[in-house]
Amino acid sequence: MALKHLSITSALRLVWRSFFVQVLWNYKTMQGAGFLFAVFPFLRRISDNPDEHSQLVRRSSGFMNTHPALSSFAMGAMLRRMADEKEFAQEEWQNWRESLCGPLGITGDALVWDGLKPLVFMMAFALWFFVGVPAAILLLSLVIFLLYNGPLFIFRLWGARQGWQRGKDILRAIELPFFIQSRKWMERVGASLAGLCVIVGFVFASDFQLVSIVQFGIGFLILWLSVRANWPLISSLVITVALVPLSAWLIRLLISGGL
Amino acid sequence: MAGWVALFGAIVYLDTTAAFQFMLCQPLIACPIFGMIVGRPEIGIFFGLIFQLLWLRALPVGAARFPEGNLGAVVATALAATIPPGLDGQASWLILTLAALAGLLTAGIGRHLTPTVRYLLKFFAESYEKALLNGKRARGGFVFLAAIAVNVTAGALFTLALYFLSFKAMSGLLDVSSQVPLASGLAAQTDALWNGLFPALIGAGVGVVFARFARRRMMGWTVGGFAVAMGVLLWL
Repeated sequence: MALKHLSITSALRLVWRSFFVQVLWNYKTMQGAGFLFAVFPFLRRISDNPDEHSQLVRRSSGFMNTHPALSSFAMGAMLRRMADEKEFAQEEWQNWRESLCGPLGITGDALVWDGLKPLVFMMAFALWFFVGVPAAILLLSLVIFLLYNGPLFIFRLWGARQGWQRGKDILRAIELPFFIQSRKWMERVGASLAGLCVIVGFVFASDFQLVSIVQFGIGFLILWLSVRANWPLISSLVITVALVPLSAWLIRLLISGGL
Repeated sequence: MAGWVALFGAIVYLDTTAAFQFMLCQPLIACPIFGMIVGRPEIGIFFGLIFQLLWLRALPVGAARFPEGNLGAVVATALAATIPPGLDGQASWLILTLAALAGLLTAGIGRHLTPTVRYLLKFFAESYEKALLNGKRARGGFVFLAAIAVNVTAGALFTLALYFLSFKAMSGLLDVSSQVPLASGLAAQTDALWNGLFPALIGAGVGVVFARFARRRMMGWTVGGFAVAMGVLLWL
C-alpha cells in the first residue's frame, strides 16, 4: 500500500522504531544508521521499484544526529519529502537533513534532558522520602515510569505527525509557542522542586542531629560550588565522602571539649 | 548475584543511551528493584536516593563523555547487598561507604565505556547500511540485532567486572581488618563515624539540583517550593 498519509498505526510504528535510533550510534554517521532503521519499512511503501527503493535507502542513510525524543519529527518529515519528491538534489537533501540536527537537538536537550527528566526525578526523590517503603517499590517505579514516559510518548507521536504534515518546514513546529512556554514553566517548576528537595532532603536525611546537619551542609556546599564552578563531579563527591568521618570526628571532639 | 548484576548492567546500559531511554536506568528505579530482587530492598532504596540527583547534571548529549552513574549505582547496590548484614540486621556504614566509593569509581571509569562501544559500532553501522543498500534485509536485521547484542554485552561485562574487582578489593580490606585485632577494634569504633554518608550525599545531590535550578531570578519559585515542602511536612 503506497504511503499517501501517515496513519496513526504507521505513526505508532515509526515512534516504536525511533526508540532504537541510537543502537548504531557511531562517530562517523552518529544516528544515521538508526534513522535508516526507523524509516526502512516505510520505504517499500513509497516505491517498490528496486532502483527507486535503493535510491530511497541511500537518501535515508548518512550523517544524522538529533535528540532521540525529537527524532520522530525528523523521521516524519523525511518520509513526507521522500513520498512527495521523486526528483531531488543530493546536496540540497543532505544539507536539509543536517539543518535539522542542531535545532531539534538543542530543543530536545533543553526540554527533555534538562527539563522533563530532572523535574520528574526531583519529584520522584521527594515522593520516595514521603512514601518510600520497600513494599511500594514497584508501585513507585511504575508511577515514575509513567510520569516520564507518558508525556514523552505522546510528544513523540505528535512529532511524527507534525513531521509528516510539515515536511520540509518541520522546524516551524519547534517555533510554536508551546515550546517556549513549556521551557519557561519547566524552569519555574524546576526552581520550586529544587527548593522542595532541599527541605525534604534536609529533614529526612539529617533527622535534626547536629552531626548530620553539618554533613548535609558539607555535601550541599561542595556540590553546589562544584556545579557553579564546573569542577569535576566525581572528585567533588570523593572529597565529600572523605569529609564524612573527619567532620563527625571533629564535631564529637568539639562537643566533648577535646579541642 | 552475578547473574542479576549482569542482567541489570545490560538493561541499565541499554536504557541509558542505546535504546528505549525509558529511564528504567535511573538509580531511583533500577536500584530499589535490584535490591528487592536480591532480598535487600533497603539497600536499593538507600543507593537509589543518594545517587539519583547527583547524576542529573551529567547529560548524555551527542558525543559528550559522561560518567556512567547509573551503572555505578547498580554496582554499589550489588556490593552492599552481597555482604551480609550485621547482627542487628543493618548493613555496616563502612561497607555502605566503600560500596558508594566503588559506585563512584565505576561511574568515573565508565566515562570511557560508551566512546569505546561507539568506535566499535562504526563497523556495524557501515555493514547495516551496506546490507540494506544491496537489498539484503535479513543480513541488515542480523547486523542490527548484533549491534544490540554489543551494547548489552558491553553493559553486562563492564558492570560485572567492576562488581568483581570492587568486591575483591572490599573483601580484602574487610578480611584484613577482621584478622588484625587492632584494626578490627578500630573498624567497629569508626563505623559510627561513617553514618554521615547518607546526609552528606543527599546534601550533595540536593546541591546539584539547587545549583542548576535555583537561580536568582527564580528565587520566588524556589521559596515557594520551600513553603510547600514545609507545609506538607507540618501537615504530616
